[in-house]
Amino acid sequence: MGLLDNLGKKKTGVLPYVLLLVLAIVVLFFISNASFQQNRALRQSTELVTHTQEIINEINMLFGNYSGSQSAGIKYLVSRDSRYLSDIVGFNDKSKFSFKRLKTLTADNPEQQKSLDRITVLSERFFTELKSLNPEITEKIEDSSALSDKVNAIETQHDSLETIQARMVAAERNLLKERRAAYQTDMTFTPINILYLALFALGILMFAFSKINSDRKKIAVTRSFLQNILENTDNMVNYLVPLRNDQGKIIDFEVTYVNGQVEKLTGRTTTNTIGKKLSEAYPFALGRGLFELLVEVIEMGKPKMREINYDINGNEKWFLSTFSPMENGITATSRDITADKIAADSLKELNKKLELQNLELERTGSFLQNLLGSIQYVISYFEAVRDPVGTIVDFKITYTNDKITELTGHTAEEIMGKLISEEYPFLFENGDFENFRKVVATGEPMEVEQEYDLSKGHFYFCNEILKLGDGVTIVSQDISLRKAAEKDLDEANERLALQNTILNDAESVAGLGSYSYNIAADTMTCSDNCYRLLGMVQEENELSFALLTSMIHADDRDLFKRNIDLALLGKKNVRNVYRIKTLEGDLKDIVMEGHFFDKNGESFMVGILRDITKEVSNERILQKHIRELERTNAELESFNRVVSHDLQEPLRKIQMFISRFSNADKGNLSERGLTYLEKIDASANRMQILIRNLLSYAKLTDELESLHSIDLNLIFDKVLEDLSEKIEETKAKITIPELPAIYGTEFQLEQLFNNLLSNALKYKKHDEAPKITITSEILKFHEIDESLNLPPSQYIVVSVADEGVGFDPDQSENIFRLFQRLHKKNAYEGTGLGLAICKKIVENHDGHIMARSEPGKGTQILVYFPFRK
Amino acid sequence: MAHFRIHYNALEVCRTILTERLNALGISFSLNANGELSIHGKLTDENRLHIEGALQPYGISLVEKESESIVEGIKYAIEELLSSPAVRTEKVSAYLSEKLGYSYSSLSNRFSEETHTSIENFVILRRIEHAKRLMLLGGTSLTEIARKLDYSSVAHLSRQFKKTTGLTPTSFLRIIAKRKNTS
Amino acid sequence: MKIVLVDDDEDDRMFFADALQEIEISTELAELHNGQELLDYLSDPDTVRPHLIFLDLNMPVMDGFQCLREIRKNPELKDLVIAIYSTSSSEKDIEETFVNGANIYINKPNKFEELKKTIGQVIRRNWQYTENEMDKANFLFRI
Repeated sequence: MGLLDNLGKKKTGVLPYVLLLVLAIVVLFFISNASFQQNRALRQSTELVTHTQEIINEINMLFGNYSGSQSAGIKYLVSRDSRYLSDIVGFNDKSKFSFKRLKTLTADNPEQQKSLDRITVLSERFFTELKSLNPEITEKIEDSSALSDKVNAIETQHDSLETIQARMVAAERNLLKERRAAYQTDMTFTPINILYLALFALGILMFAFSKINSDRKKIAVTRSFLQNILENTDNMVNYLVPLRNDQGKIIDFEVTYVNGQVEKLTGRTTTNTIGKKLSEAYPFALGRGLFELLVEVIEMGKPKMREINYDINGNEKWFLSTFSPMENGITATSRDITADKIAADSLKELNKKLELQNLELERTGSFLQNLLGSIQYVISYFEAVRDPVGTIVDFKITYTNDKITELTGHTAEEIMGKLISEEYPFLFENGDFENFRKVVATGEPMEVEQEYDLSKGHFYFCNEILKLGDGVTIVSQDISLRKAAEKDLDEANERLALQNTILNDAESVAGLGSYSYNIAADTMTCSDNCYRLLGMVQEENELSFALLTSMIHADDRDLFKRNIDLALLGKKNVRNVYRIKTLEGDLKDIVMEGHFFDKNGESFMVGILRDITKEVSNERILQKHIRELERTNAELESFNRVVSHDLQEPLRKIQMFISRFSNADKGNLSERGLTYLEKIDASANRMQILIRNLLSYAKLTDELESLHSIDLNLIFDKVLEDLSEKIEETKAKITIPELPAIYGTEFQLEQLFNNLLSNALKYKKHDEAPKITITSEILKFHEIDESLNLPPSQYIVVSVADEGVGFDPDQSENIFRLFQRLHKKNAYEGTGLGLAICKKIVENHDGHIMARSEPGKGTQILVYFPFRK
Repeated sequence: MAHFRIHYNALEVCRTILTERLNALGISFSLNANGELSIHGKLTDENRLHIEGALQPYGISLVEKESESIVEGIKYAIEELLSSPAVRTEKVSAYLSEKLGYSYSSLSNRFSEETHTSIENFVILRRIEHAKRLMLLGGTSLTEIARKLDYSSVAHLSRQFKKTTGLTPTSFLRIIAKRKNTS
Repeated sequence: MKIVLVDDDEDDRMFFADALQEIEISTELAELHNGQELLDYLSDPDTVRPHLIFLDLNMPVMDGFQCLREIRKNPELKDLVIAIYSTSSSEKDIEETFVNGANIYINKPNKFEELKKTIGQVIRRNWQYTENEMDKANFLFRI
């Protein structure tokens, strides 16, 4: 209960009591001191009295000696007995001793000292007188007068002494009397003083004690009063003492006092709180800045007030806390203001609602005003016209307002008094008449929307029909504008619906779904097709981001999360492919694209999901095929190489050995044998050419080097060089213009044009020298025959035209196939590989090769190369 | 005592001695596989005596080969023809017969006999060698080289180059360039 | 004239020797079976340096390519005239042999007469280069 002890102590109230106590102590000190002083004075007085008494005694003693000496002297004189003389000497010695004592005793009294000085002179004279008494003198003093003189002289001397003695004794007696009086005074006054002082001190102590006692009682009362207040207050009260580390830094607080309210409000019992660290006692208070605040209070020494909300056992509570530094700790008084808060919040909400309502009201008000101002009412009163049986057959227009003029062109005056059959005959056709009759009959008001063709135009009216007397009041409101607006709206809605349908169809066709993701609110909206794409039924499941995440294939999910996190962080556009397991259980490959935008301060990620399952599976199949193809190709190539190369070796030897047949050897052969040998030779030669061509065809695949710009002029120079023999032999005329450069591989282009020129030279007419014309031109893409199916580009077309034997145009595709020969084996030598090689080379260059021909007129080979600048 | 049998190549021995002695005299020469010695440049009688004197101690003597000098003369004339632009337009045959004072046919016969090559072939070979040298020097285009060496066109030069060496000028240059890069 | 033929194929060596004999040039032929044998042969101090070496490419132990590179690495052997004597291979391979220091490339002919002609041409060309002291570094010849 340290706190309460502290509470009871008021510093300002304590001070006078302390002063009082100090005073009491001072008084007691004074008393003891005074007593001591008094005692000393008393003792001194006693001593002085004794001293005076002693002096008096000594004086008497001294003068007794003198008196004795005198009497001894006189006796001598009288008796002449010399014994008395020695007595005198004895008296003299005794007097001298007494005198000395007296001298010391009265050292402090100058008066007596002066007397003593006189005594010295007188006693000397006296004793000189006495000493002069001896037998010789005595002899002389025979006569009585002399004797009497002598005795007189001694007497006189003694008398003077006695006078002094009397004075001295008197003086001492006076002194004694004084001292006695002083002693008497001391003896009487000292104890009384002490008594008084003691009584006084006692009084003070009594007062102080009674004061302290009454205070103590008051404190007890105050404490119980406070205790009562603290226990019964709604406020939580805590007393917190800071805990410091070695450096004196506050690391936590210890709860040293809590009141009963704490348990009520927080459910934390005193055992849970008192003596515990703040962090242990109130774990829910952590991380609310409370600790820092407390530290600040301690360090600044100033109280702080703060509203803090805590989550206590799942309930949000608000406390208004006051933190006041007290002693070395902090008193924390917290008031539960949750209810206030809620009240304030609901008040705020209420205010807001009110504001909104006000706003709404205002709006409605102004709307109404507008409405009243702009909408036209026609008010009419039709009076029933009955036939003799009482059936209403017509109505008479007894009142109508001026508004009618704007509709019909007639003034109210003109109309009033007329029958509706005259003025508004159409009312009988559109059901209005029946409605009027019904209202008159039943008295039930009706509201009917009706369309009218009036002289001022086509109008829509909302008619309120009320029975009044034997007739109807009709309040007609012009709702033409509203109707038109409604129509527009309907149309707009229809258009929107159509657009949505189109969009949905488009999405469905493209396999797309669009989504919009509100990042902060974590809400997602999606197109119909998006649902379809994910195998969801919109009415049954609602797509959320979490659901989408869960649908991502487990292997892709981390990637998805990472990508999305990165995208959300950097607001970067994303495009990724994920596998998704739809709610229907299908595995789909989905492209997710997304970009970001902000609207009304909110961030959205919008984009599309696209089903690319088919593409991906196609791609996979394609990849598989490519791999298979690559493998096959590799096998084929190695097969080609092995076959061609290894076949060539034995073939070459066959040819070699055949050529080793000398003429002598041949002479030994039969004619048939010789023919066989020639046939073997020819076959071997053909086989050699075939293998060589096959080899070069096979090599085309692995000789695909990087393309670079190659001057076709140089290529043709080379080809002409290589074919120079044949050209000279056939006397061929070859025309080559200035040619452009194309991107390609030198060896292949050489081989291509070598083959083409070789063919042109080979398939010449037997009787003519070949005439070969090379041309080239650059064609724009649209100038190229579409049926060629070339990728868009400009093309360089090189044409090699001859005027040779030509071929059937039907064969123009076939000639580029492997081992395709158009002519009889013996007519032209060849392997049927040349043009196939050409086709392959051109294809390697992303080009196209085609042939045009007419038998007997010649052949034109066209080679297309993509044109690159 | 050790006994050996000597293996030696007479021609190599001869070449070593000739190189040593004739170089000392400042005379350049070539010795072919058939033991035929050609002295480059003009051979004066005095020089000839020096050579014979120098070679005598080794038991080497010069045996006159009459046509040889004519062949040398032809070669020399051809070199002159190829390196001097003034005379190159003339026909080789006329040029040679005028230069050497023999009919072209006799020169041609003598040349073929000695070198197993026709003068025409030799001229072509030398021309291509000149072309190679110019190509390797760099800075001269094929067109210029063709013109310098009296070819009608680059194509003509290329054709002859290919025919003579089995390679096109381009591949020749490429090979030489690659050789430089690899070494 | 001293000629070395390096070829592992017995028949080819026979054809070559026969052809050489029929050429009217006096020659001396040494026949070796692979590149390693050639290197050993050339490093033997007793060996008279040949005028011309015919080198097959496809051989066991050490093929022609490697052998060619080894020879060209040796400065003492760099003036040796080497003719690659091989069955046809790609243009690229042929160029490679030249780049690696071959002077002559010969496609093994299919006819004996052709072989004779080719060998004769090669010997004559080599002889012309030697006779006229032409630059061997630029001596490139392909048949």
